[in-house]
Formats: sequence, structure tokens, C-alpha cells
Amino acid sequence: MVKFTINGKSHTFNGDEEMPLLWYLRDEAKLTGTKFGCGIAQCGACTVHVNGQAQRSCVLPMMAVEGEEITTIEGIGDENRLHAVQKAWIDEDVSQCGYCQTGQIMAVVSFLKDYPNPTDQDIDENHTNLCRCASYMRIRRAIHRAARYIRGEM
Amino acid sequence: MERMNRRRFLEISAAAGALILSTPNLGIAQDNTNDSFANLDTNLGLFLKINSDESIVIGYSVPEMGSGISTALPMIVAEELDVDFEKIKVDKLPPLLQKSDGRTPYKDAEYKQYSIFQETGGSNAIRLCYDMLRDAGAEARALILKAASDEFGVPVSELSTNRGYVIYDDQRLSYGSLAEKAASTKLDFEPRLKDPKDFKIIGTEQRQKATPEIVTGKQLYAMDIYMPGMLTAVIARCPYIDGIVKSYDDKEALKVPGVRHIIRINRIPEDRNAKKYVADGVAVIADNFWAAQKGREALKIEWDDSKFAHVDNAWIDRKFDEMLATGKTNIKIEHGDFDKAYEGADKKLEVTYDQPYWAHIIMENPCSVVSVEKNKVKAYAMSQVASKAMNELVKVLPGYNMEQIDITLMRMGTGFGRKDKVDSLLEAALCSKAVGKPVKVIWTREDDVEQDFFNPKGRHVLRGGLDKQGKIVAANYIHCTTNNDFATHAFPAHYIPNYRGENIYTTILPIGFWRAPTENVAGFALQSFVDEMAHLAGKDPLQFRIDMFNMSEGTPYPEQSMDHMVGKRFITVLEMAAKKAGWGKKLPKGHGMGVASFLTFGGYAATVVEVKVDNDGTLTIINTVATVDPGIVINRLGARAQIEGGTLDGFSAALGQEVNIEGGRVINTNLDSYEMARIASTPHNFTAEVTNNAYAPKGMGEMSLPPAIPALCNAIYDACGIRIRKLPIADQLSKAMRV
Repeated sequence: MVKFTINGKSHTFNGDEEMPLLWYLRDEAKLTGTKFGCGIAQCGACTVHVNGQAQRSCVLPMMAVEGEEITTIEGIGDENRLHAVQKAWIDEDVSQCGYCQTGQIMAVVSFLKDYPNPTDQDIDENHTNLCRCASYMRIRRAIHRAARYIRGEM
Repeated sequence: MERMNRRRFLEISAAAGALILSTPNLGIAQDNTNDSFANLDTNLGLFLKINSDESIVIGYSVPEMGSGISTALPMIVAEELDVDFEKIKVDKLPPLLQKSDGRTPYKDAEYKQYSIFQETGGSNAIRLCYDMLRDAGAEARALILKAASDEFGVPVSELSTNRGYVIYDDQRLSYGSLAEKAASTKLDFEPRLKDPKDFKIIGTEQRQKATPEIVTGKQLYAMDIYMPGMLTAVIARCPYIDGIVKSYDDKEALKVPGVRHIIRINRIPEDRNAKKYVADGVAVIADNFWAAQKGREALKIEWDDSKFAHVDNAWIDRKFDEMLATGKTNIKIEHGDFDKAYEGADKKLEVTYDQPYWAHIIMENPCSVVSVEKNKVKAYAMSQVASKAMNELVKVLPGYNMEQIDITLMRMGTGFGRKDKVDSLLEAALCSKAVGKPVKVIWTREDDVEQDFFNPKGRHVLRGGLDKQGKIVAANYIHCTTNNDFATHAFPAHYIPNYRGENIYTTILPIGFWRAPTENVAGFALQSFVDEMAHLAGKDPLQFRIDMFNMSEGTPYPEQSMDHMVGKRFITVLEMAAKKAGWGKKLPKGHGMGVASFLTFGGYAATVVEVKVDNDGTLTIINTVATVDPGIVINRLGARAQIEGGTLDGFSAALGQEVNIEGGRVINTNLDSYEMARIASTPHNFTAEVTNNAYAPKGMGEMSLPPAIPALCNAIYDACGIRIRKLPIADQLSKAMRV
């Protein structure tokens, strides 16, 4: 049995512990904001936080989340209480199809903890999520904007 | 079409104090997932609803795959209605079909799309909806005005509207307060359309309406649908081109906890010589994705790979050699006498460009949910084309008719032409029918790439001759390819007095539409060729193009819903992009600038790229300017997003994308081996521009891609003298620099 929390709520899991967290989130917890993209940690559509750090949930087996605090996109903010990164995403009109954007946002929330004042180079070297619409120009702008929101400059 | 005819599709009704404009929804069950429909007559689809509490909902007919249509289409209605767009809610209309009158776009289709256009592809949604949506907005505004004229007791001519209010002198009435009365009003005058110079919404910048839902994870895609009692299927499909299942053993698979059923999925069509639509395979149907996936791994299947087991990319290249050697081409366009003019030309060039198969890598893998029940079918589909989804579905469900099918076209996690095909929908229907429960079919990324309908691999042989003044007098374009396609009218076809365009093709991998089909690779070949001809003539590549376009005002272009190509529109986008990029300025050592332009689905696009090529062959895109003239622009913010995405999509394809085939199957089926660009290869300077003119509106989704690739390649040549004649660029530069 695996015990852990998702967005502050306790969960227990009794099934196949090799199953990646992604499929627990989607098929069991019905938290569908976390997306399936490649299954091999290459695209980042499935990004969640484990104890506050971004991880790709499609390759994270359930046995590895024992005792961990999981945060999904549903846990970082909602429309009445947007996270700075979500707000920046709206303000910069980043989304096209939108499918990868929850994973992008989760990756960026974690990235900005390590790089509160990022340069373009920091972004290029650390942000590797795939956006098939190639909204990268706006993602880059939104990361800078979100950093300013978090620093209280805007 | 006559305006009155266009307006006939609208029906006016009232419910709970609201004015509702709706569309007859013949033969199709109602979408019941949608809150806005709660109070509607089941035979009507919502089009526009003005509630007494001032809230307004505008329905959009075209499925959204990321091109911004769910924001742009309602903007057109809102413009003529004259409301505050920020306050408008938008909602997807259910598919509206009617019995075919024999003039459907698909020859075997039983039902055609109703008069509201419902497909996304060919950058056609704005082009085909624009007039009708303006009429709808104007009709609703006229009804409101008529109701207000009764309230104020003055003629309509003394009233005006502004952002959801009817104004009379210093008084005003809100649309919401007039909604109920307007619903029972009969118009005694013809609604008037706005003069485009008075537009307040069309041509502005509006953010995508869905973004708040997207960034909070609330936006639902087909993958996110969970029906009660639903099972999940993962299918082992034959990985070999046109192969089938020879035999299979499911004993171990059935032992996997959670696996409920294992069924055969037969190839559609069954004739292996006909193009594949649904792959031959074995479906593992389980309680959830993971169990189904484990079950699939435990299957033992023997495949019949006999048809194409000898095929790899090198084999296809040799096949191209043989095909070209036969000289048996199809002449697609010819004027003047190419052979004679080429023979007598002052300078000549013969070049060959090669490009590989590209996969779509749709962000959201194919996935569909279908519940086949006793007297009805509920389906959640990812489909770019409403009528295709419906027509294909009834074909695999004998005994069910269109009236029994209730289909929801979900927002799509990209499409790029892949979701023109509804193969996963048919698989879900077959699984659900077999097991009597709702079934979701999920494709993995490996499934998606392996079983894709690819952009064709091709070889482009170009010959050109210059006269003594350095003008192209003869050109010949032979496109040897893996699909019967040819960019017949693509520039410079009509600008060269002696021209012949030909194709020759064979069929290997399954082929489908891929962003800017055919034009995407013709752009690379033709615009690289024009660049090479400019250099041969010793002329500036930008001026060389402008001089050609100056030859005529309107050039025949009888395809893609166009009559003419207008040279001055090309010159405008070229000059805008070149000016912004600083064309002609002195560049640092190792830098180079390239230009290209292309016409796709009626939109004129020009791209200028500046690159740096280091001594070790490292390529950096320093600056990009991409300019598109689609005619009237609806949403300038959304339009620029499409230019940015299309250009970077082109760069990504050019830099690293290539489908590798070995032993008759695709082998690089995931993102560790199929290379897609990330943020790190996105230029730090990028300007996306749209023009401002009054030409009839075209679309935005595809125009910027075809010129992006040759502009990049032409810039590389300018920087280091290496001409890219084979895609992807990959490590060609570092290899060439080492020599």
C-alpha cells in the first residue's frame, strides 16, 4: 500500500505499484489537468510537483510516491485565485490548443523557485517542455512576466 | 450567396426571457454536455443567446484545434451585434448535419454539413464563415433595434447601438432588457451590415477565450472524458506497412489484473491493396489505461509483414531514381516551350531537393470515447471535420442511423491535419459494440508515430534557364513523391514564360494532410530554387523576387478558392519583412540573411531569417521576421500566434524531423528519436506581422510555414555558402565545415 497526498488531501493506493503516477492522477483521482503526451518523460505534458519540485509523472512509479506531497495543476490555483504563472499565461495569451500548457505551467512554477530572476539563457537551458503549437515566444515572455509578478514588480 | 439565403438558416425563438438565434439541427441528437443548451428546444442548436441578465453566449460551429477559431468566429458575430466582446461567453455548437443532396465534398457521405461551416483545415474557417456570421450578428442587432423602436416609440432610424445598449437621444436600453421582446418581433427592414471602417472588434487584439480554463486544468479534451462504466482499450496494431495479424495468443494478456476483453480489430478497408484507414490489430480492453497497456505487452502476435518488409528510406530514394529515369510523369501545368527556351538559355541550373516523411506529433495522441447502446450511440471525438466523423462512424455501426448518434467534438490538443482522420473513433466504436460498454481508446506516442498518416517524402528536380538580362525564361519542376500531389500554381509557375510542372508518384506509407499540405515542401524546393537562380543571375534575392512579381497585377491561380494571385500583395509582405529585418545591412562575420515568400490557401506570406553559422557548423537563428497578408484580419493577437507557431513549426521540421523506416516499419516512434524543437532553438528576436487591408478574409493557420523553411536555408547559404538541398538540416553544416 502506498500513502501520499495530492493537493493536500490524503490518498492510499493498493494496485500495481509499477503504474506511473500519471495514470493514478487521471484514471483514479480524475485529476485530468495532468496530460499524457509521450510516456517517456520527453515532452513534459504530465509535469506535477513532488514536494514542490517539478517531476514528469508518466515515468514516476507509484512505489516512489510513498509519503510524498504531490501537487497538480488543480492544486496551484483556480480562476478566483490564480497563481502568478497562470495569470502571466493569460496576460501573454500563450495558449493555442492548450493541451501542453498545464505541464508547461507546472514546470515554470518550479523553475522560478530556483531562478526567481531568470535570463533567456536560464530558460533555454532549463525549460524543456514540448509545445507542439510552438507557443515558445509567448512562453518565454510569460515566464519573465510571471517572475515579475512573483517578485512583486507588477 | 444571396444574403437572404444565408440568413435562412437562422431561427428566432425565446426561452426564459432570452433572445435565441439558433440553427435547425436536422437529424442529429443533441449535445447534452453543454450548459448553454439546457433550455433549448432539442431540434435547435444554439447560435446566439442574449439573456435578460445581460449575459450573452455566442456559439461557434468549427471545432477548435488551437488555431484560435473559437475566439475569432464569435468576434465576427459580436462585431455586427455591437456588444462588449470581453463580456461574451463562447460555446461549441453541436455538429449540424443534414441529408446529403448529392453535392457533399465526400462522395460516399450520406450526410453533408449544414449551412454553417463545421470543419477546420485548409485554413478555411474564417474564409467560409465570415459573411454568414456577419449576417447573423446583424440580424440579431436588427431584432433588438426593432424591439427598442417599439419601446421608445420612435423609428429605428433614430436609434443607434453601442456595446450592448440601444441609444435614443440621452436614453438607453440594454440588450438584455429587450431580449424577450426582440424574440417575438418580426423585422420589417433589411438588417444592415457595418462599414468595415467602423469595425470595433474585428481587427482588434483579443485573448483566447478558453485560456482561463486551460491554465487551471479545467479544459476537457477527448482524453479527459470518463463515462460511467467505461473501459479503456489499448490496441496492438500491425507495425509493418500494410501488414496484418497472422496469428495471436492472448493467454498471458488475459491474466493481467484488470484486463477484461481481448478482441480482433480488422483492417479497414479489408483489401490490403486499398489505402489503410484503421490498422489490423488486437485490442486489449481493461479497467484502466495501465492494465490495458500491460495486457498489450503480454500479447504474443505474429505479423504478416510480407508486403513492404524490404522498405527503408534508402530503398525509397532508389525507387525515386528509377521513377525519374522512366520519364513517365504527369504534366500538371505547362505554358510556352520549356525545352526550347531552356536549350537557348544564357545560364542554366539543374538542382535536386529531397525531403523526408514528417510525422504530425499531435500534442494529444489519438483518443476517442464511444458508447454503443441499444438505441443510441454517444461519442466524444477529436475530429477536424464534423461530417467525416459522423459519416465514418455510421459505416462501422450497421443498424444505427445518424439520428441515433450523439457526438461531441472536443477541443483538440492540436490537429495539423492528423485529426482529419477519425480512425481512433472507429476503433472505439468497434470495441464498445463488441463489449457492450463505453470504451475509450488511447493511443500511446509510439502508436501515434508508427501509425501516422504522414506528410509525403519527396524529391524535387528543378531546372531553370536565365536570359542575358538575368531573367528566368524557362523553368521545369518535377515532383517525385509518395502521394499524388503537386503545387500546380505555386510561384514561380505563372511568372515564367516557358514553364512545365510535372509529378510522378508511388504509394508507400499512409499519407495525410500535414500543415500546409504539399505547399510545405513545394515552398522549400521552389523558394530555394528561386534563391539559387538569383545568385546565378548575380542579383539580390529580394529584388529578384520583387522584379518577378512586378510583371503582372493579377495572375491566374485557379485553386485553393482563389481566382488570382496579386503580385503587389506579395511585394508588400516581402518589403515589410525585409524592412523590419534590416535587409541589406552589413552583417557580422558568419551571419547571413535569407528571404522567401509563398502563397498558401489565399494568404500571402514572406519570411526573412538571419542566422549565424559558427566555424564548427553550429547554427543559431538570430532573428526572424514573418509577415502574412490574409486580407481582413479578425483577431490580430491570435493571427500573430499562428504566424509564430507556423514559422517555428517549419524551423522544427527543417532542423531535425525525419521519419526513419527500417524493414518495412517506422522505427523512430517517440520524442527521444524523433527530434522536435524546444524553446532553446526558438530565436530570441522574432517579429510576427499581419497586414492591414480590406481584401476578403482568408485564414491564418498555415500561411507562415511554407516560406519559413526556405528562408532559413537561404540564410544559411548567405552565411556560409552551404546550400541545403536535403532536409532535415540535422548535422549537415558541422559535417560540411569539417571538410
